[in-house]
Amino acid sequence: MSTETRPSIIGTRPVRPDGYDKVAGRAIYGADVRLPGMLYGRVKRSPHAHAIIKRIDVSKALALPGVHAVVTYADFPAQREKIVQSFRGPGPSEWEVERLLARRKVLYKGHPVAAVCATDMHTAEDALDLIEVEYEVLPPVLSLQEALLPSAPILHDDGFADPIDGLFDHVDGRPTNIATRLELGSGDIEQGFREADVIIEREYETGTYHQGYIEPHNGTAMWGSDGRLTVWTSTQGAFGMRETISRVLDLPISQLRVIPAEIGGGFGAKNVMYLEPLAALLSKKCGGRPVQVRMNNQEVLEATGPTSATRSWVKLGAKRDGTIVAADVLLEYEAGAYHGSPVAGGARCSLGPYSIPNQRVVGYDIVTNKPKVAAYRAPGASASEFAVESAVDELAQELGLDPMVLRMKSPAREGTRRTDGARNGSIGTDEVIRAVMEHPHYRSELTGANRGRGVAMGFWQNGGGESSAFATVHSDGNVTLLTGSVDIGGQRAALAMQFAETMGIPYEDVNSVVADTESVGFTNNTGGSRTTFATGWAVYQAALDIREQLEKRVAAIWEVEPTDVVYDPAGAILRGPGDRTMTFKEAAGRLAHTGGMIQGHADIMSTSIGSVGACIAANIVDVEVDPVTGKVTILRYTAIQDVGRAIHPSYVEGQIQGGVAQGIGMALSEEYVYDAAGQMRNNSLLDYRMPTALDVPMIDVVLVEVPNPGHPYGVRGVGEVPIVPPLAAVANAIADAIGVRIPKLPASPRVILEHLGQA
Amino acid sequence: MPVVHVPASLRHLAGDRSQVEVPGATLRQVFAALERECPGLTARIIADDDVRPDMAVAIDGSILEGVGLVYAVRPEAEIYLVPPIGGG
Repeated sequence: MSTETRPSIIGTRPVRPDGYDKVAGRAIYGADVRLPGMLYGRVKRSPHAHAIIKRIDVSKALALPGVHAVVTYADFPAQREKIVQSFRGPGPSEWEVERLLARRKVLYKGHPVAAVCATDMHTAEDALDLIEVEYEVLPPVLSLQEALLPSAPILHDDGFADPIDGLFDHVDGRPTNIATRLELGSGDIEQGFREADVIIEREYETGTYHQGYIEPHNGTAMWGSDGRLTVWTSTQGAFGMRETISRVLDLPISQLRVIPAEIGGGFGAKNVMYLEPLAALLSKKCGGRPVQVRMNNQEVLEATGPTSATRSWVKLGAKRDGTIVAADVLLEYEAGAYHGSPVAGGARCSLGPYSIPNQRVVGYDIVTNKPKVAAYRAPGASASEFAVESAVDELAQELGLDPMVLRMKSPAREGTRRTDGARNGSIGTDEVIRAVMEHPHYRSELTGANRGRGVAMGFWQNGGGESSAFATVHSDGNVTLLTGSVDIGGQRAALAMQFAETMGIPYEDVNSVVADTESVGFTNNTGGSRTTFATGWAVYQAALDIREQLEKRVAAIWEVEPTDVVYDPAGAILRGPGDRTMTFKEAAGRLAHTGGMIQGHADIMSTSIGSVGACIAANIVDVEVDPVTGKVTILRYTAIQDVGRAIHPSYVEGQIQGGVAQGIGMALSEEYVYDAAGQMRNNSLLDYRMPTALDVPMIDVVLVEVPNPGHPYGVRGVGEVPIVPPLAAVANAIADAIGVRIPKLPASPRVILEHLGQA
Repeated sequence: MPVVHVPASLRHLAGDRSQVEVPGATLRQVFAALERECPGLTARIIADDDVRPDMAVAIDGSILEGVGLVYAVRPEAEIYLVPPIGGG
């Protein structure tokens, strides 16, 4: 593999290309799209958590002046395939449609049942009240405990036309709410525990958390007179959106163009389509007029995918010196209304920081009457690693060892076989542990009543996948760089930097653009911490393509053999025989009259040409607990992470600080609160208590750089693992402060007081 | 011969075996041999002439994506079948 040894742009901190427009309010987000004659849509949602739809009557809504169309489930085309395959398992294709507009049953409060469009938003809103829906209300299933009771109501009791092997397997001839079960592991778990000197066994729980992005979901659709559909939306992946929309609308992907708007946060949740097909169906009923459908924040909270509430059971066995010899983990994850929780992510990452010879992880995907969960930053890993890292902390106490010394005994290293059977490549566990133990925060003394310190580690495997890049050299020596990767965390800058580095040209000479589905090749979604790695590979290859073409063109200009010309990125200069040189800018200026302009492109499957580098993080946190109010105050926070090579250190630090802030919210304050009828009681951003600037101190960040040898610039994904350690780190700090462990997060003041016996 | 490690959830289709040794120089050949050895098992692994999206394949320690059934495997390859992870 080619390895650049001349980093000059990598590691610097240039201004992001989208920064000024975002700060000035000029960036065009999905809801800012305006088209001539555009209609506005709203969604009629279920007021019940679990009910059978007896009747839907839209006639009064259609009669309201200004209303142009109403759609229900019946307006979707029949699904061509009975089963849709996805990475979370196969499912009936009709469920993908029912999630968008309910058919026979509604499965959570907020489940869409109809959509309407009108000349303005207020008329559309009024029309919702005129849509009559008759329900037969059923008892809801609102927790894992309830879902697993033998007497529990069954969400998918109607079965499906062709039962799918492995999905909702029946027990004693009766369906259950358990969608799937998985089991991973290696070694001999029973023998491992027999060899252990100390065994601990604990249970933990986490709540339902929302990603908390500030921009609600939106979708705008317009059919052209040629029968082609164009969709504008705030999404983490235009190509992924194209695929799912085309499937539910039975429309060839070549007839569908998805234009990604600027995005106001996603954290995994904007991989999912909610409104786009509804806008398309409404537009079609209106002769192709553009229709825009938007959510408000209440709809976002009640009807889009949060993360799973979870229960975990952990059993660890260790030798007296702290070496962990056996680990047994059981995970139960809520999937919401349809199968597909991130329990696999939780299972595969739960023991990631460690090398344990005997291990077993069992996971269950369980449906409940809540919105179907969506990905949330390192999906599944925060909960499972909260459980394991809390248990490791308790194991250290049991053994009388410093918690980081214990972690030094069994670190995951290169070649370590993971729970899933794969082996680690290069991984920075030792370097991160060392950075923690040498950090002034960890070495400092913490004094004062009700104060405590916690540490925890985190692991995430990171993703690879497919990416494309297309770069056009202009005659002035600037380059337009098109990629299909939506920019959520500074990717435009990070990709432009890698391209500029490979070319040896200034970062400012690269115009980095997020392209739509008809302007660049297929690219997987921006998610899984894959973009700077995988699309970075693509822009690197596109730059090499341009370099090679330039060598040939300049050879033709000089009338020498192509092999006699070499592109030297140090100085962006082409060198030929007899000390002949031509700068990149000079060459760009001569392209038009020597054979035409040059474009470089690359379509790559990143894991076929490189390898993903897994990520290790660790947090140190000091807290103070008020024994009267139960409030936890974070006194000091340090986040340490192996980042491979930080392309743009400021954005890497920002990812880490953002992930930690979200993890603190999970640990202390955030949680969906439902009443007995399945109504979310804190369905506003005032009552759903995300941390504010007053709750989170400055988060000190330490970037540990263990370059990934599977990438030309050593990149590892950095965006997801920061959310993994905070839950356990904060919980461990609380336990250290008050001497009582809180096994169920969030550790809100009420929960703290309950555990202190003062509620 | 390559060894296919069967996940616990599929072992009932492999005679409760955790690993099955089968011949093959490509993933397609390995899975064809696996199907002969354990009828019905590969329906949970393969669909539409590709590895199913809810199944990831780790070959000799590395999880591979998008390589398809034409991927060449070593005579002593170890093949793990694991649930894929979605990113956020």
